[in-house]
Amino acid sequence: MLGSALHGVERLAVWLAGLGAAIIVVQMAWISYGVFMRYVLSSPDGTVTEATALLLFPAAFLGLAYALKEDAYPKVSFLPDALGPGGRKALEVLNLLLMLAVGGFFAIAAYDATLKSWDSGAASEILLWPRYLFWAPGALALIVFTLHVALKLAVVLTSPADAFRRPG
Amino acid sequence: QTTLRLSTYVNEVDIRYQGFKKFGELVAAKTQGRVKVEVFPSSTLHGWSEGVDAVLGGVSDISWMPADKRLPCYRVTSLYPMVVDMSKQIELDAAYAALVKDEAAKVGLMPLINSNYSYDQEWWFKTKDADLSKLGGKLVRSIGPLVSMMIETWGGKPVFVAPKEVFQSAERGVVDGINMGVATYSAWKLWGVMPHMVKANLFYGNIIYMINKKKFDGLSAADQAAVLAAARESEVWLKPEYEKFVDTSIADAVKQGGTVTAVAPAKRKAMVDAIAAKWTPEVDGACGAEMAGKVRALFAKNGL
Amino acid sequence: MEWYHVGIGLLGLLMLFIGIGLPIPFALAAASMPFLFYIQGWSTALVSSELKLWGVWIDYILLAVPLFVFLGELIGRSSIGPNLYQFMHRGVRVRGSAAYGSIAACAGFGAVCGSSMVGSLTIGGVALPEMKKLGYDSRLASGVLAAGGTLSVLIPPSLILLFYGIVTDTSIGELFIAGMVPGLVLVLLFCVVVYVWGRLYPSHIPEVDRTARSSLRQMAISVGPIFLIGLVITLSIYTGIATPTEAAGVAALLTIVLAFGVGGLTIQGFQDALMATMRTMGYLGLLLSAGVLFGFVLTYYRVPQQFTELFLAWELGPYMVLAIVIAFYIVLGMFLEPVSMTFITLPTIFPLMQAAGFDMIWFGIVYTITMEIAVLTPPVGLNLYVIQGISRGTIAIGEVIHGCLPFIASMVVLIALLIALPETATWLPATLK
Ligand code: NA
Ligand code: NA
Repeated sequence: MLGSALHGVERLAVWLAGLGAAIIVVQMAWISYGVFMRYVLSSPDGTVTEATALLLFPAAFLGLAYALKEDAYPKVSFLPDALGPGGRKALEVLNLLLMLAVGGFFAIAAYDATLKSWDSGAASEILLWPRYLFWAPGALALIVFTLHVALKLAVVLTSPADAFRRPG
Repeated sequence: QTTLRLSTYVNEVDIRYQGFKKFGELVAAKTQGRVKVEVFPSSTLHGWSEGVDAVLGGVSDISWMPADKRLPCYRVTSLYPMVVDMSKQIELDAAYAALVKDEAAKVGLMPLINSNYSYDQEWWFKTKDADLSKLGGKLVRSIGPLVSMMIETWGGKPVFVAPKEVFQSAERGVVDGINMGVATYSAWKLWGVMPHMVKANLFYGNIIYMINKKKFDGLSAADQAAVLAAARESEVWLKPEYEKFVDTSIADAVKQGGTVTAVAPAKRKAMVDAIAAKWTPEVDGACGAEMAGKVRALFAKNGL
Repeated sequence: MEWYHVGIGLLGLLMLFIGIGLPIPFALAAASMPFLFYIQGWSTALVSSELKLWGVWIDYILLAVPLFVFLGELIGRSSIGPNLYQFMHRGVRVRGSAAYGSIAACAGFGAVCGSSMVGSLTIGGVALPEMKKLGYDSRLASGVLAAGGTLSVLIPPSLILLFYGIVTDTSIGELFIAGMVPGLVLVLLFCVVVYVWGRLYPSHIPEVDRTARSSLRQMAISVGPIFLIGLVITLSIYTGIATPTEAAGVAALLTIVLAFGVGGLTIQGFQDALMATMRTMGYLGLLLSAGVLFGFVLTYYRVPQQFTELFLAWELGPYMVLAIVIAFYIVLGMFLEPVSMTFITLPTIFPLMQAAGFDMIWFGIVYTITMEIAVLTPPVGLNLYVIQGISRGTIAIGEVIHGCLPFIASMVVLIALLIALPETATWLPATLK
């Protein structure tokens, strides 16, 4: 049950990261096109700067859960390395709880901002695109991330301490 | 004791920062210390476009208001094409703030300090003696829809450059010209890389610092009056200081090889009137016919 | 609460959280949150966080981050990166050629990549297994590669110099040019470290490599693309074709073309490069947001302002100021990583340096070297973990740290050289003006 839920969230994480990757490709192509239009054709694109900057916001958060899945968050492991299996498990639980608190807080903030941006107007002074278009994917990414941490925490809590023996 | 957090985009070396400090001192003196103003410079509390959200959310109590859609009329008239009679600037600003007061109140804000003077918004070019009215395909950095329309009308091509890349773009020639405030231009060390200024004086500019209305209403009547009086006095104190600062910056730049080209008054007037006519539909749409009429009447009365 | 209570409390909490193994972005956020709630309460703290999340990332210049990371990943996943390394050492009949080759490859890669983490990751991924196989000592191999990666931020283009230029309004074109000579000097110093190491511990470096030298054609294929990409980045910024951020976009597009055209990149490799970029972004997205929230809490309590006032009250001489600032960055660099450090501290520090009369281009180079040191010092040293990660558990973190020490010493020597002879950094940009 827990395992399949975790598996599902991880698949979602990959999809969100894929969406972020697509955004990066769009940004790269659009910026290059903008340079070409301005420098070669002397006919600058009026939206590229604002648009690609706005797109950066979702791109910055869409990889969150994927980074967790891939264990890509650098951390200092001196203390856990020095502990026995029981201590390591306890520390892992503590760390996941803190990550849950941080992720949860940011997720609530992003969700709240998405709702508020519904009537708060434009994303920038130059482009009158609605701001929620950019907040919503960011909020989704943070919510999926928080869910992911919660499931990992549940998995750790239900595993025996022996599973936390140091490898090798 | 009440603390009012004032958030500004100007940094500590900008003369406008002294204006806010003066405001704080005046508030403290007039309220016998019951109200304390803390100034947060350099956009440390929130970004350029987030003034409304920051003040309504309680992150700051007083912030500059950007061209936010929630303040529709302010959005299209706080920067307006006209030749301002500088001798009446303080009164003009106060009257303008009174006009947008209702619109601000609907959102939960109240105009408090008028800033970013009409004296300030100007033009710079890489080459000497550029003719502002005949831009001949020049790439000019724009700050928003009104300025873009001006650049296009005069035959140039507006380019949006992120504020943080303006220096780099000017330095390396990514753009041929820049529209910006003189004080900011000087603070950003741009004179060294784009030294030729066209001083045209084409704008009414007033980026109003608004206060959270609930917070203001929560003050005693005496403290409210003191805060308003302090705001007005700090404006009066700052105006000559600010103009001196701008003039000194320009004089310093000229000493180091920069040039300043003025635009003849008649030509200036013609340029501005043509642009204002084009801007009319925007203003009517955003303000509504009645309010738009009031704003235009005010500007007509205070123009040269 | 006094400002120094807040300053000490924040730093103390941060160290505690990092110490128990909480990933750095979460440690930064978790340390800030209690202080944020204390002063603002729940709903305002929520708005503050919303403003910071949005404000950090709606920033055009930060586009250079994913673009440079992507560019590096493309090079690493095509044959361009591995070829560069092979060309730099194969058949070179010098004792330690694989180590010298690693340094040279890191320098070459540094000429197209702006991030030291990506530098270590890309060249380290190819070179570390090979050096282990050849019989190099683990400490030497990991030290060379962890330190070599940092050449990416001294040799242009560089994300650190880019952010420095933006925070301080210093010409990024000139900063990039100024980094070249010190970057080459550092390459030389790294080689000296390897040479001396080999003399002190002969068993740590295997005998001469007897394989055949690469052909001229192979050399052209391996070095050509790197040279071309580096040239496009530098020229487009220097001649005003593009802003630095735009140059990153154009260079990434060019890298795709070259990686597919001559680097044998597959569609799978392209997808992998994109996903790896998102993995790094997933980490950086939260890191920068949390870092800025941390800085926001400091500012709200006026810690930087008070600190500056205190500092100015001492009325120190310029070299004393410089010494304190360098020491400050080396100590802080143990606990923070360069990008958040730059955005949190540089706005406060650079006016002090300007007031003390230092050339801002010169200080940019000195600053960048302290940032290179920061990614090599424990407990928070990103490159240490990158190399340990590449070794897949065969090298202990302690060995990586040990291996980096002589290279850190050589960076300190470079700072000393820059102080004694500022022209090391300022001569080239002045000449080209
Ligand atoms: Na580089
Ligand atoms: Na460190």
